[in-house]
Amino acid sequence: MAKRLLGALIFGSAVAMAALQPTSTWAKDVVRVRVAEYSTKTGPFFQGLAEKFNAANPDIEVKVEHLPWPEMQQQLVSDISAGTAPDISHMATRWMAGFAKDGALAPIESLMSPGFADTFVPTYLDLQKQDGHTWGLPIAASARGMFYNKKLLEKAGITNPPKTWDEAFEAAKKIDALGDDIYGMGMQGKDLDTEGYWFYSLWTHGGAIIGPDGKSGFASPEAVAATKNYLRFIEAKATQPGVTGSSREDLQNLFAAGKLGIVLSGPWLNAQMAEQGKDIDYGISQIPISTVSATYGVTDTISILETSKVKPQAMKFLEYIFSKENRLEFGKLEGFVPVLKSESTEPFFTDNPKMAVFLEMGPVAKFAPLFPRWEEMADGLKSELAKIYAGEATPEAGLQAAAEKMNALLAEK
Amino acid sequence: MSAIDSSTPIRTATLRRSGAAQSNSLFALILVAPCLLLSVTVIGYPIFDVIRMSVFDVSRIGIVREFAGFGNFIKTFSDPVFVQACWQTLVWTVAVVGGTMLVSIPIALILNEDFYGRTIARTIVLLPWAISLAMTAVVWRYVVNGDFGTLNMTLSALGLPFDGYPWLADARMAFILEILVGILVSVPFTVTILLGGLTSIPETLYEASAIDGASPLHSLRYITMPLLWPFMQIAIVLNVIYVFNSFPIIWIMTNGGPSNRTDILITYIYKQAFAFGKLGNAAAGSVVMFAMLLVFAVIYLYLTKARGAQDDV
Repeated sequence: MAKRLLGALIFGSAVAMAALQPTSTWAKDVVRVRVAEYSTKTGPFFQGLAEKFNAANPDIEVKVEHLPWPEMQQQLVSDISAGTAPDISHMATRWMAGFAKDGALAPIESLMSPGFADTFVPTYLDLQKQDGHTWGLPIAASARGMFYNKKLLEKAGITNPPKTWDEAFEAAKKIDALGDDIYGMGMQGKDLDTEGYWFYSLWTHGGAIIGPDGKSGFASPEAVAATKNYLRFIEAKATQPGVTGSSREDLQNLFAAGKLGIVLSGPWLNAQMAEQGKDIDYGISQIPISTVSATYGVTDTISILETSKVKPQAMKFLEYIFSKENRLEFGKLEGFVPVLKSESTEPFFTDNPKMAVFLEMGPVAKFAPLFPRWEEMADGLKSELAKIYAGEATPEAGLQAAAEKMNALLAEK
Repeated sequence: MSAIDSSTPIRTATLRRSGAAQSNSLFALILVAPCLLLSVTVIGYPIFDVIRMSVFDVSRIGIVREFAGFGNFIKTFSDPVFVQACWQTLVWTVAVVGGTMLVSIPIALILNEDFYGRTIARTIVLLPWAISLAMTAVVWRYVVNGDFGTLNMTLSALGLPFDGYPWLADARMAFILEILVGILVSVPFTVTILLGGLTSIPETLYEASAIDGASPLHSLRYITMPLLWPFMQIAIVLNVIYVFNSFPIIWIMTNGGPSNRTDILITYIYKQAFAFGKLGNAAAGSVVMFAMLLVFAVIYLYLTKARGAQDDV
């Protein structure tokens, strides 16, 4: 009996060895990739890319996980601290600075094939650099423009879309007078990107986030003028009601429902309009100006993590994502601005009236600074802006408080 | 609790100094050891880790750097938003728990009466419990939406001037709405506890007092209320613990805004940790919250112990 048991044991372990052996010789390098969803199409798109890549590279297996944006930051922070981070992760470029500083990301300049970096539009790749290293690749880039409802403008007797803030103010007042549930210009005061909405006015008034002295530019005379510019819209009731309760989505929903005359937004609104606002005839033009032309440029980053044991393989997949045809397909799917030089000349971008403005505005795009503490500075600003928009603080006092908070955080470094 | 309860048999056992009893209690200890160990690891470790992080400088990815002493606490307490969030947490907890009790007592009294369709009524009252808190908050966020929300649609259909009224734009109004939603989701739990209390009151007391000529109002005042009081205490303490810690309603409806005026401690801590990457400050805030809740947990233990003792008599 015992002999048979021993025999069975030996046989069993031999089978197990045999079973283990081939897997270790054929072991594939697994690359875990995490992407955030811009739309329901993002996940399947990257899944498809991974399948094609895996088929062409039998020794590498790319596994794609996709998460909604709001969960990305928390998930990434917890995974990095628990040591379970993926090899490649998607993130907002403004988080990248903090992660890079804390040593969570791998510099990729030495991993890239020669000449690969030159395929990018320099503005967007330069944003991924800090302290002499490249910390990721610009997976998405967008500039912002002014969306206007053609029919409402026409009804209000406006022939050309407003080019300056004064024209926009007059137009908003006229559109707002069209009816009780028609509003002139959308004004954001809540949630993600509230500060971005204010930057349009700041930059077109010649202001800057960082002043020439290296300190906060939030309380500069230009910033005060930019804020008063928005306040006149609110005080004249030429915006949607309840600015401090309106998020970016709220404004976009109003515009898609045909209730809003003008809203400042990015190319993703095209995708929403194609689904929810099919019968709305709208145009896109440049952000209104006061003294200079400007727009808010934002990029998202895809990085390799420092803890990854398969960095070269991960880089190989990244280079595959950033091939011209794959990027073009992604651009068409999600409506982002081209980040590769070769993409920029494609007729899809240049001849498409719904995309051309974002390309035109590229050269005047300004970006949020890459400070590790930027999220907190932006939150301080957002909080003060809500007080100013609600009429509880003067622009001067509110902006002064936001600038002081930012300066204190700058001094902390 | 369990430690206090079990101390009595152990003490008598050692007094007797009987070898059999001693090995018995040792055997019992061995039997509960795995369970105890599991509880200590699962409950104790996170608490230990939070306390550790609160006195160290922690990077945004959780790397513990040098010892910071009370630095994180000082930073946290000197943040005006933290102090503001403390006050708002107090308002939030008192308002939600107070409101819940005021609503739940009459509901429980009614549901305790025998009437046609009582089972249906009880089910309806318990329903909000079956829906996840996050989902309830999302639904209410849409209901109170200024332009597309059903609340404004209903109010305007009634001829009231609420067309496009932005409920969540004003911090005070937003906070009131959140408190109302908080009350709504706390009622089922509270009613259940109170109903349990009401069924435990013997019917004979009411019959005897009715014979002595007590009006229904009198029996409510002198029989129901005093006998329900221990259950109300427990409902209050447990609700305080739940509500104090409740995250989804505020996070989803207003994200703590406008201008941090609806932030409570838990949303403040979440922002510190996951939006700003200040894990040390978040840990310090958590320790402060933990200390506050510990007080209520001790009160709860004291109350249930007092009750247990009463029941034994």
